[in-house]
Amino acid sequence: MIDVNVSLGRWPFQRFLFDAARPLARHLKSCGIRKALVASTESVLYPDPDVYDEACFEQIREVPGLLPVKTVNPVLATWRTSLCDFADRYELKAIRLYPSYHRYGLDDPIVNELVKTAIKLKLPVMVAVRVEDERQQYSLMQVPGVPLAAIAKFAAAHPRARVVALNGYFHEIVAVKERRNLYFDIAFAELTDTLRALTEYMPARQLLFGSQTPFLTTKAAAMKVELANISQGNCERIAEGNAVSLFRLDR
Amino acid sequence: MIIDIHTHHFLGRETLKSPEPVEPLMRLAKQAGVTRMNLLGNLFRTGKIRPPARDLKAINTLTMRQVRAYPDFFTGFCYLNPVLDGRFLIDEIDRCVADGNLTGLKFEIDLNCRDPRLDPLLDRARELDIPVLHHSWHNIDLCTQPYKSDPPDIADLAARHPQVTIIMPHLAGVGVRGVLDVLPHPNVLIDTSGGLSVAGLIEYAVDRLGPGRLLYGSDVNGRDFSCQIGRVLGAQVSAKVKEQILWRNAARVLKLGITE
Ligand SMILES: [Zn+2]
Repeated sequence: MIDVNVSLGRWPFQRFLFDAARPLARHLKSCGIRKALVASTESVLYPDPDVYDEACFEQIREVPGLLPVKTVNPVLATWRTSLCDFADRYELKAIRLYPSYHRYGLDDPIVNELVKTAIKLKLPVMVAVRVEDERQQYSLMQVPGVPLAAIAKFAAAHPRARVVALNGYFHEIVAVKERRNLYFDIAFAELTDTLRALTEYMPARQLLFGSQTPFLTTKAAAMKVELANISQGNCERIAEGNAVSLFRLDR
Repeated sequence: MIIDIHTHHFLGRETLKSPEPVEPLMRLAKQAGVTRMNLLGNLFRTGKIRPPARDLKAINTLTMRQVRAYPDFFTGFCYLNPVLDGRFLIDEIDRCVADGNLTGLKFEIDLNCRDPRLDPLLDRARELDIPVLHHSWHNIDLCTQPYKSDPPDIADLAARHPQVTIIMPHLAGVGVRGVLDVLPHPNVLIDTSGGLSVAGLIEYAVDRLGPGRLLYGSDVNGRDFSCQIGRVLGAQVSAKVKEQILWRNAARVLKLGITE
């Protein structure tokens, strides 16, 4: 499987069992995951994402199967030079945005500029709907989720961009009507017989396997695929195929 | 072997008289390796908390019917709304447990469990030697609520009834704090259902409480057996501990007499 939703690093509100690249890769492999798109955990909260992104990418550079995803905060004055510089130095597979943590709207003009740059660099834009379930957040740090409708509007406004909504709940994902260039990972999506239910609402080509490791238990996401009551073709698309074409990965 | 301590067979309001068949849910459970399901009742069938006596009886009658249809697969708990008349509630326990086929009590979010109205019901559970599963979740505002019970409320109930086995559901919902809240009360077990499969919590709970106080639960419908079982199978604990969580502890609490 290819996991599009993995992070590496530490988080103040949770104790991770895998916070170094090699043990993380070994753990993913034990759950049937051979490639993973990895972003730095600290880059969500630390004011300059470049600092922890660099540390993260240097670590995973040595580990086959772990592929870098750059966290971009478009509110920062340096986002453009930083992104181009990182794209030169590392084989970035995507960028990740955290609009609710970095406090901007997806319709902000600055985001237009960012999307143009991402298109030029051929990088899909991942938008984290949330990092943690709102009901389990630290009581003094309540961060609202990004409405899926705003992400759908954003994707529609940039038809040449490829947009991935990470960590959306089932009911949020299936409520999105316009989604031509919009993809969803399955880390937070759950309903009885999850993948069968999801594929009743949308084509499998828009769904991506994501586990949100190390926040969530990797095996929990893996078993959604292992026990899925869907065709083998759709299962393969969600587990690997869609990610291979969307992120231009080697087979 | 897997015993799912926390399941519901939800039905629409109008389908209670001719209920939706339970077999498709059973099939999914079996496909995921579940060998037994503990039914807690089709709660909220009226769409509201605090169901009246008529609805409560209908819910429990349906659970009894499902257990009767598949006694090797289902066990069930008698759901109670503690704000109803105390005499009626004792009679309902006797109808469903003493004279029926249900083997535990279930409380939801009808009344905070610090309320003394729960006491005669827990006393009856002790007399009948049956476990009680009481809803819980750590609410962000951290103050006692009139309906919902947080883990400190469960701890209060457990201290009042030390001889009754109390299952506090939703490990991810009660979190690290919830584990600590019930730590001093060995009669409280926690089920793994509810919320996301937050990594590290099962490991933490096993470390703090020991492996004998955790039970696998899915909280289906609405939840998926695959990832609910996956959160246990994926925990970084020994195969022996996983076996305790997945069925041994439940077999003990439900007195199923299964050892292998
Ligand atoms: Zn439940």
